[in-house]
Amino acid sequence: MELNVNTEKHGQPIQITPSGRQLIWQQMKKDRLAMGSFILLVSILLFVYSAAFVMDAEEVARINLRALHQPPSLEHWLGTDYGGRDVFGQLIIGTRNSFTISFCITLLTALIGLTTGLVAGYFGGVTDHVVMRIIDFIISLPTTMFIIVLVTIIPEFTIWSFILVMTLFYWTGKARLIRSKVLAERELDYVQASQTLGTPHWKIMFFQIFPNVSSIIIVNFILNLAGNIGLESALTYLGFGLPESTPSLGTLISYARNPDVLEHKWWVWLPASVMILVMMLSINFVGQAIKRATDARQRR
Amino acid sequence: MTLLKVEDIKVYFPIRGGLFHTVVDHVRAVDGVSFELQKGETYGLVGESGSGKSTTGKAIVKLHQVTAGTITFQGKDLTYLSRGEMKPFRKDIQMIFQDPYSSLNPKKRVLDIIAEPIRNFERVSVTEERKIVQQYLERVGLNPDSIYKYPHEFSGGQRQRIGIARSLTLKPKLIIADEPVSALDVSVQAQVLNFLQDLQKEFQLTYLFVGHDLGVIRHMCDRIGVMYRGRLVEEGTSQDIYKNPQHIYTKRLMAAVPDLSPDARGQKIGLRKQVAEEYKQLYSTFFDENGRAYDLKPISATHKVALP
Amino acid sequence: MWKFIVRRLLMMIPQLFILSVLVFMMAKAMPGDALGGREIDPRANPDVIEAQREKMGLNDPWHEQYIRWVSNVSKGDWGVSYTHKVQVTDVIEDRIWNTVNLALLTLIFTYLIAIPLGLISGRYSDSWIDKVITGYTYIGFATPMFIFAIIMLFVFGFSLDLFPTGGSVNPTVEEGTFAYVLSKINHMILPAFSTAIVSTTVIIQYLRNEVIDNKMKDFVRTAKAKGVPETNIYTHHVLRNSFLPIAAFLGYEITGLVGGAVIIETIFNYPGIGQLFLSSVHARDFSVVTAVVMMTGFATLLGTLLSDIILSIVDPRIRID
Repeated sequence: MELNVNTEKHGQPIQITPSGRQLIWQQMKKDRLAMGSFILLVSILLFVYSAAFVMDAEEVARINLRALHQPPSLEHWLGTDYGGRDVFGQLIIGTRNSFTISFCITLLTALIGLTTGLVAGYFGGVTDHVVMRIIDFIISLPTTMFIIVLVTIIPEFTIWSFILVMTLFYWTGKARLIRSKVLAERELDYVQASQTLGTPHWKIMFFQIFPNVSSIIIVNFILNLAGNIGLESALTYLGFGLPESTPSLGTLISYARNPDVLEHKWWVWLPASVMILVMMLSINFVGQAIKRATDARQRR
Repeated sequence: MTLLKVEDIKVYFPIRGGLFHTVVDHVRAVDGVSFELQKGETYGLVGESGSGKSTTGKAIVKLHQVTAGTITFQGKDLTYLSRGEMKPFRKDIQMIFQDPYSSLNPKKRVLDIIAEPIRNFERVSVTEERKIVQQYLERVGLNPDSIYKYPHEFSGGQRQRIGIARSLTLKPKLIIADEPVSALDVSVQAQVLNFLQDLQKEFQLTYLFVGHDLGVIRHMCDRIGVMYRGRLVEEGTSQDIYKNPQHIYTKRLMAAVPDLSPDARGQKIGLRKQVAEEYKQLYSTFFDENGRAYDLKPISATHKVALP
Repeated sequence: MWKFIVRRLLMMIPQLFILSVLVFMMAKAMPGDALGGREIDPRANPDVIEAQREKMGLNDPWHEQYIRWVSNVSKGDWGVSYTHKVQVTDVIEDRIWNTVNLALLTLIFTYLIAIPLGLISGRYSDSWIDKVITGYTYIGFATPMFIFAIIMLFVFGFSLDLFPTGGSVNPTVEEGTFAYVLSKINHMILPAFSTAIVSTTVIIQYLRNEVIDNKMKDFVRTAKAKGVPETNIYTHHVLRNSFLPIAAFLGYEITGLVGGAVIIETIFNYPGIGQLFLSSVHARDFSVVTAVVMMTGFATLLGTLLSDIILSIVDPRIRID
């Protein structure tokens, strides 16, 4: 319990209890691994986004037949690929694309998952039943294959179609999680109180219940972001992710499908693999730390 | 003047079962309850847990859909109004909840909690809204500077006062108080109860007071209805019920009230045994073959008992 | 409980129906005759193509085509493969056992790793060894399987040359011999182990929590008080109690493995269903694609069904839903 210092004599109200955000931050600072991951992640992202901003994307994508598959050198820090393109430049642009697109997918799935989860959990009954059966069904589909088929049959495949196809299959987990939390939350009297005060359903869902489930949404968002970077690059690795015009980390790794590249030209695929590993691990460590912090706060 | 008239309401909850989750039976939470509230009075609904008293209260504010019967408020039938049609009546009928811990949203500041009904019904400027909130906070005995605090910074009694302030902001005519003090320390209970009585005089409120604590009910209520298994078994003035209980269940309930004076204790135990014995013997005369109480029959101008 | 099982089984009917409709719609969106795999020469003149389509029934109302497809499929007729020029079922039969074997070995590895590590980690919770195992589960949870698999292939397949880097069997050994079986297993070890080591972390975490929960329970204390050796308590009592929940992961694991097969088989160049699927997509052999999607969809639905039923036996609360 927080100390309740008498604030009356100060005239102005003073906030004694730290807000949820501050508490999580305090917990994070104590966790050295999470803090290190956070700093590493932020510096990578800052570097990648500013470098990609300065960089000439066309220059990076230009094929140079005189410099095919060169090992790392001063001129090409991470060597060149089969088209003589600078791997380092592609790594920068690929990281930016992978992160941006994964972020978009995570954001969209979060919005859809949040809305369906709130609606199903809040109204319950038949609505909940129908939504849950749909979710159960989508979850038990062979998702990878469906995505690959959709990617193949969609005419004029763009980044946006990729994001939408991914969203179509990956909103379900979030919806299920949020629904279960909302189902517990709506039993609390404050929801009934809002109903007797004449507050409309949508306001109760988004302004009353939502703040109470927001911490798990944030944790889930972060963990999903990491997962989506992996999913996106895996699909791109297979050749069914981002269109050619948008190189991602998966594009660089996909060169390793050629055994010769995998065995002898490690500089093409290894840096991108390490980049994905580092990003996913550090995002996960940050997410786990926040999760522990919010769990600890709920325990009090 | 009759403010609220409840006629033969039933609230049934389906029990689902079987292969296809079909409705196999109903829980008859409220099974034919009728009573009237006069303007300015306090009517108590009393009974053990599971007797349907809270459900009755919640059905009036439409937290539960009524299966049958009518609810009339100021001559208007509210029973089958849609959410939208119900909205104007929300202002007039408000509710105080039992648990002051779960009835306030932990993520909201006091200002937002108390202003929620104002924001739903009135258009006032931010400064004016703050002034109204502070005024009500002061009225319920809290520091008006605490509008930016969160519920967890208050004690149970203080939280219940916040809940009361919230229900007052729309200037309601009827307040349904669902065991408003049962979650509070005994030392705070009297405080809150007296305070509710003060408010009643000040704002000319009518209370439907739901409770299981007979001492509290007696202290608060002009008239009392005793509920058992979703039915009223006896109704009358406080005097009728406490001094002259007629139904065997009411008698048993009254015998269960602990007596503080040590001299009376032995006598009380004897009485309790006697009533328990009587209850067993007379059970079949007071309840029909399904264990359901009979309809209420008047035995005096104010007193009604469920007799065959 | 039987009520839940029957209800859950009945749910398979609409699920299968929707799955078949989805697959049918996707097949119709593919160019050519994705349901039958019959050839239409795109260079022929439009009138000829139209006449062919008419004859094949491709211009019939969609529900007639759907019913025809479903009845063909239920008779085991999935059409003809465009690239292999044989029945789709034959193509799939060639590959499916590779995938099933690989999945089995992966499951064996998964549980072989999970059970001892989970038990140790739970029994000695908060010791250094538990911290090491928990650290591994955190990393394993965050690692994308395909990158881990590529690195494993690079290190153990290419650099150290310990394992074969492609195929499902050494083509020089004779079929039916013991060396043939060994070669088959040898080809599966690396992909199975790479998958297992990442996917097992969820089960380790679950088992660890389960053991820690059980530690406090009365039956463990009673056993201790009766003088049962500590190791016996864990292997007999705790593991037995945690066994069914772990078994329930099996079905979900199958669903995951089927999805992962596409990636793992591509990386290790292993001729299973996943690789068949991907090469058929590349070759635009859509009759095979349709059949594979439908069959794996059916398999994953069965996997979830299995897990749901096991879970409902373990945990009665689930049945209420």
